[in-house]
Amino acid sequence: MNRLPVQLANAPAPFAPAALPDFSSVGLDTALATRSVSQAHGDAEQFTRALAAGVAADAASRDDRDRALDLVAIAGWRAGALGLRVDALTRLAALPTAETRVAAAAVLGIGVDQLDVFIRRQGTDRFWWPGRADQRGYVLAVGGFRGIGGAWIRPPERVERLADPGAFAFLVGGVWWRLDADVWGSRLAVLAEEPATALASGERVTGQDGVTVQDGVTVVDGVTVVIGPDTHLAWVHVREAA
Amino acid sequence: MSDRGNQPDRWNRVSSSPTNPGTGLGVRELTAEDLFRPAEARTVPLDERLRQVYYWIVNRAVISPYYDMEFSHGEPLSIELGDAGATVSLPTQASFSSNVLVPLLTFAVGGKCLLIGGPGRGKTTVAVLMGVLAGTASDDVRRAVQQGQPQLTVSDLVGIPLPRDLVGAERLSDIRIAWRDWLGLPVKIIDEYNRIPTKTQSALLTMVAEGYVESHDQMRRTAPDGGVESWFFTANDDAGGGTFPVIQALRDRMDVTVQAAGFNSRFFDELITRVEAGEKPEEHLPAELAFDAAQRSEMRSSIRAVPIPDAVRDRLRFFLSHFEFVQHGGRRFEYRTKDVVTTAGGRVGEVIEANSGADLDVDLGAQTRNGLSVRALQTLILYAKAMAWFRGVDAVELDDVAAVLPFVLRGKLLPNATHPRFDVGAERELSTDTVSWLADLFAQSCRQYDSLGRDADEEVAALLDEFDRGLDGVSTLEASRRVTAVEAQLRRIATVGKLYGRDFDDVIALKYLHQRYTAYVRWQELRG
Repeated sequence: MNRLPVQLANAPAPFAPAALPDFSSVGLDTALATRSVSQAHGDAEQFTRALAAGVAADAASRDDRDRALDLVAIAGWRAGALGLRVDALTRLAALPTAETRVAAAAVLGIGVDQLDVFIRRQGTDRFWWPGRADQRGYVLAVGGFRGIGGAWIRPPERVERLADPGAFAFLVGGVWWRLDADVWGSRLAVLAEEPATALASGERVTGQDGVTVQDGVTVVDGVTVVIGPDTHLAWVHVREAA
Repeated sequence: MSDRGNQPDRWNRVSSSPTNPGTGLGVRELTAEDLFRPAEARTVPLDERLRQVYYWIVNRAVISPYYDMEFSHGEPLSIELGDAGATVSLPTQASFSSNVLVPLLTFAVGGKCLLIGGPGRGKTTVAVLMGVLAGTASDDVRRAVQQGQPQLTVSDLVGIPLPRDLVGAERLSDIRIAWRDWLGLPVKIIDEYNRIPTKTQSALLTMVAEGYVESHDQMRRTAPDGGVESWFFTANDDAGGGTFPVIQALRDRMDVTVQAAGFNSRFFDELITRVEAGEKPEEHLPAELAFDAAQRSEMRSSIRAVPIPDAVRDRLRFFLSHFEFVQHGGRRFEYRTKDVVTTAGGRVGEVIEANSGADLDVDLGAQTRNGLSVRALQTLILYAKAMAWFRGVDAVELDDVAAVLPFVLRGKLLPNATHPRFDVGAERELSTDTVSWLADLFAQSCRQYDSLGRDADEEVAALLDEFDRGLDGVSTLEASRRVTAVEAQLRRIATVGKLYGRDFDDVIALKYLHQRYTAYVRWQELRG
């Protein structure tokens, strides 16, 4: 049973350990990029491994700045830097050659035959990846008991959907927290006050993204955030359309 | 500083993610190109950098797992431990180690911090880290530490007159002084200041209080124009012990007093690692964490600019009102103060006890044997602003005041040892734990503020606000009406059987208003 936050797309570890690729021939300092990914709440080690997997699949990227930047954007997003999501998806949709498609798939840790469906599904479902069905729709868990390395000292009492895509608010022990998440990463932050855009618990709304809120559980195109009185974790779950 | 090329990575880790979870809301969009912009181009705000420094110190430099400056939204989880009333609380917000944060705030505001505690508890190490933080090389900071000892003379401290000038000079002003280098450093450290002879303490007082030092009619400023200097003193005793008693004026100049924390045995392995490596934390401060003179100046200006909302001011004002007044301290109403008793050689505790029938539980002023100085209040305001700025909030919150208040008022607001608070049951613990007592005193005051409904019932404040709007165009009739209102307020207070500090301040303020209005009425009448 999981007791700590987890991103299920990273369990088990999707990449083998690797050295950080060198893009100095195209004027890019990958060590600096690694630090930047870390500052953007990504996992530096995951970035290194994902980027290395891409370079191994497309050695020419070492000498082509645009191809190198494609791989960096995708690897940064794959490592959990949510801010790179739009850039990475834009670059994924415009990959110029078969080699670059193979490299991009390697960076994402998926088969190249799954790349098109991944890009298409991500356009409407930020929590999709090919392995989601194997996880029975579960994507990630956040929070966890602080005493064992989590964020919270009590189980979350309420969850609300925020206006930004992939953003939710949790009320935990009288404190509001904000979650931003997608398939590859999540970020949990304390809010100074109750978020203005939070919808009242139990209110039913259908709007952008086909949002429906039911009895304190938020549903966005089948996305459900599951909380309970006996767990410090909040699970993001997506119900596949029938 | 040491060779950074050989620096172990464990020293060089600076928090790369925002240290304040409340500040980085939402997700900022990035592109791949953004990842290759150097950190310098993405300037780290000064408050963020100060937080990075704090976390670097507590996580890397000083082994201090104590989180005694607590912040919580709502009630923190509290767990009772043992059978002697001990509890541990788990705060819901980022909380801090006072023995690191209080010195760091001192560095930020350019204050004076007294670090107390037994030998070998890291007092000097923390102070030296502050010196390195100001950009001075660690060796130079260590060399500049002034070691207090019974033979320390004024010349040892500030420098000596040049011998050639002493022989050849015809006037005192012709004698040049070889000033000691440490006088010009932005962070000054005096170790074991309670071992310094009284005369040398007086020279130190001039430096601390006035920002200059004098010798043979020559003067040297210790703080550069517009610059920020901070002082750190250490002592292993805060109860007047030491080789020489600390002169009161110097003790009073300590803006904050903080106790060094003991060593936690669970971190013994880290200690062994350091012994084996022979490392000193101050030699490994990451260069990007240092503050230059302009940044220190900007930091202090930013802190001063943090606003204090009315709601916080009102509760602070109420807290301050408790302590000056003592019934039977004098005959004339204005002289019924603890200071009148003390300066006349009386004992405040005895005067408080003589006030028979007083409810000592309600009268918070009875717990202290003195009032608060203006200097202490100014310090409290500045450190509360610094605390809010450090936490990244837009305005000072009550929690910020509560967090710094015990460290500012320690040694300034003195407990009345004869009060039952320090002599009954578990409360006896407070006689040695000054910080907890002061924190509780402020909490008691806030509870009293609420129970008295002071937010809604502030008639004296309303009268003062009315006066602050000015007397231009106020008719004699209106001024007379206000005089009547002032007298009515005084009569209302008179109906209360027992007088408290808050009433004393109100009465003094009402008398002030009465004087101003009656003078205005007289002037209007003379004008015809």
